[in-house]
Amino acid sequence: MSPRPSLRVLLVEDEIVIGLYLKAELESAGYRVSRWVASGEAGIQAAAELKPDLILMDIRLSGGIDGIEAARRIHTAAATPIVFISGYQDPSIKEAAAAVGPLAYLCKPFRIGDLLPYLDGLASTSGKV
Amino acid sequence: MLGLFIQQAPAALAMFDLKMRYLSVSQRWLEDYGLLGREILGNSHYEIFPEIGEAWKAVHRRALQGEVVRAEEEGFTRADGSVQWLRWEVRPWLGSDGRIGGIVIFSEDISRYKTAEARERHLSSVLRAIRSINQLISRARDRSSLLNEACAILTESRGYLSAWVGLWQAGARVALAASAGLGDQAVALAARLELGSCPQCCRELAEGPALILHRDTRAECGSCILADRIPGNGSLAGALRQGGRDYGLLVVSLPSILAADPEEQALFQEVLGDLSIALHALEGESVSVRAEEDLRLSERRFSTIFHSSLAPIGISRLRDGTFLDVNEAFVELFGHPREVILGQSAAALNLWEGLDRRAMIEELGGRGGRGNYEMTGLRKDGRTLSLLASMAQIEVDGEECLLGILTDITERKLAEAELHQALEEKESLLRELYHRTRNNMLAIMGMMSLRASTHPDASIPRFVEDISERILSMALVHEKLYQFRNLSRIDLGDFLAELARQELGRASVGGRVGLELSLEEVPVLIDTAMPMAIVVGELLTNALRHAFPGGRQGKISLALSHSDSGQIRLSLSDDGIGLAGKDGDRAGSAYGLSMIYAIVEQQLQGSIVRLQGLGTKYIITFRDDLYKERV
Repeated sequence: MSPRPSLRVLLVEDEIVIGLYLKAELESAGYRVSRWVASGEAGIQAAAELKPDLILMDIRLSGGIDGIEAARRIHTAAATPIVFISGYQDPSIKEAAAAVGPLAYLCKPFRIGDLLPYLDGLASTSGKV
Repeated sequence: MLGLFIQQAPAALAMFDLKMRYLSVSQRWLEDYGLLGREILGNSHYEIFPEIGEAWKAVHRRALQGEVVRAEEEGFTRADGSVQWLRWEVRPWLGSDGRIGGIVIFSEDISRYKTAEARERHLSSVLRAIRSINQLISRARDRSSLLNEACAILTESRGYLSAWVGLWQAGARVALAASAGLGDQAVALAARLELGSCPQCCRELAEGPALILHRDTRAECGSCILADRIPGNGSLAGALRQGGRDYGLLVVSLPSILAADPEEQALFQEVLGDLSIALHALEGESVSVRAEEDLRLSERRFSTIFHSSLAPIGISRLRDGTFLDVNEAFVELFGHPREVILGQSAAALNLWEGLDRRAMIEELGGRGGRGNYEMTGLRKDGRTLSLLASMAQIEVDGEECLLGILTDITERKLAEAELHQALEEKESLLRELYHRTRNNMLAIMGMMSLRASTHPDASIPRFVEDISERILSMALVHEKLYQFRNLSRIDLGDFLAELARQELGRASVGGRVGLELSLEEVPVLIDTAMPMAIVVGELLTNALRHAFPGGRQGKISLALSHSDSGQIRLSLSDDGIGLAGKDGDRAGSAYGLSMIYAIVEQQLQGSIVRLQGLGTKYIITFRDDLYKERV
């Protein structure tokens, strides 16, 4: 797969194995994870600094705020596309996440093939393919 | 001369010789005794009147012996049964020789005076009876005593020989309500009436007249058992009617001559009118008394319920909330003494917290309105109470009031809160457990993938991919369990549909392979769903991977049904190239197929059949009763 270095992806995931797996799978699909952080606070900061094209946001994170709150704060500064990746399938949590206006909500476990269409779509619309 | 005097005398006079032969007789005698036109002179008095009894003959003999015998009044019963009243005197007459030559009988028919006197006496009696009845009416409190006493008065005052009252019953029948002077015949009359026999007077009165006169009951009253009670008697029967109601009749027996007297009839009708009014008044009174008794009974019941109720009950005035009454349970609930509560309002006593009384009254919407309200009460000791109040707007002694029946639900609310909290904790725990499980599943997939990527064996990535798919199948079972809020069962049909769509979407068969689903709703335990997720996932993977090589088009069909006996049948087929030559028999099948057979036959104790033809078809039958429901 040819690299697509121009699409900046921020990964906010506190579990090392999952972070490594996603990073490896995305890279094997031609995308590069520009930065990977483990907490909501770090995610907000990274989003401000990196200005990513896409944020992959876990919900339950280390630190004081969860992924939904981090996404809400990020969206107050910039309408960065966010895909929530979470083991939560509770409707109340899904509704809270939907209120932030994400690009998608993927329930763990999922196939990388379920995630790639969002990146492909963003890459094609941003002309960063 | 004497003979002329006798003949012209204004009284009935007759002169007899010693042998009681008529010597001379006055014109009046002839008239009074019905002898006009008869030749009686020289004939014996006893021949003319053979009915003359021994008593009279004795009187005659006494006079013939010189005695003067007289009577101021004496009844003389005629051969026809009638009574003639006479004033008479019998005395001897002396001949010129001074000896007794015979007797002279002087008599005056005083029957007319006697009748007038009797009538006067009778009417007076009836008037007395009417007065007595009027007094009776003013004190009578029930129908039975009124009628019985009235009959007794009418007979005991000698106004009537007998009296009875019949009251109309359903079916145009009459029941004997009261009687006097009938003796044993009262029982017989009651029995006759009971059997439905309706005396002639009843039948006649039913046709409308107010009064029926029978001059001679023996002749006129047919088969009535009272008809021949007293020979020569008449009867008066009158209707007891008032206010549009026809209560019955009063029948009295009296001498015919009196029965025919218009004045007598007028007095009788007065009796009828008085009794009718009394019956009407008693009827109205009985309704009113009954209503009063009902009210008293109702009040007693309410009072008993009010004071003995374990539910706190209070009655407060609508306009200012002042408590008019509360029961013991109310006193106990709030801890204020009863005498402190009564006369004060709930607001003054600070019984409620945050109650909008005006809004509640408006919501009740006037008298008769009712509703249930959850309220917070405050005890005297400051403890708060959760109360359920059933409120109703009622009227008490003309005053609009609120009746409140309270239920102390403090403990229930606490228990509910605890239960709610426990449920929330359970939900939270469950949510975190599922979250952790699903995170771990992805972590396992990640670990396998990361290790496989560095493994020299090229078959490992495919192996990891297959295992990952089975993990995803199992994750789907978890998702369905969570979605349906049922930790024991999922709908296998719904699950298989989604599994098949996901597998097909993931497979690189593009739009070449279609999916045909015929899946009934079959709820199964997770213990059945989880192995079936592996089995169907494996079969779908195999079909998608091997049945349609080289751009071949086709279809995968999945069907699920269950029978009433609990047997579940699953068929999965494709119209691809089949497994012949690759996994043509079980001995040579891949490890995945061996696992499928083991799961179906050993774990689920079902059967699996593979059919080869234009494609491959698996028919799996199993049951869902191997495990007990766990939750």
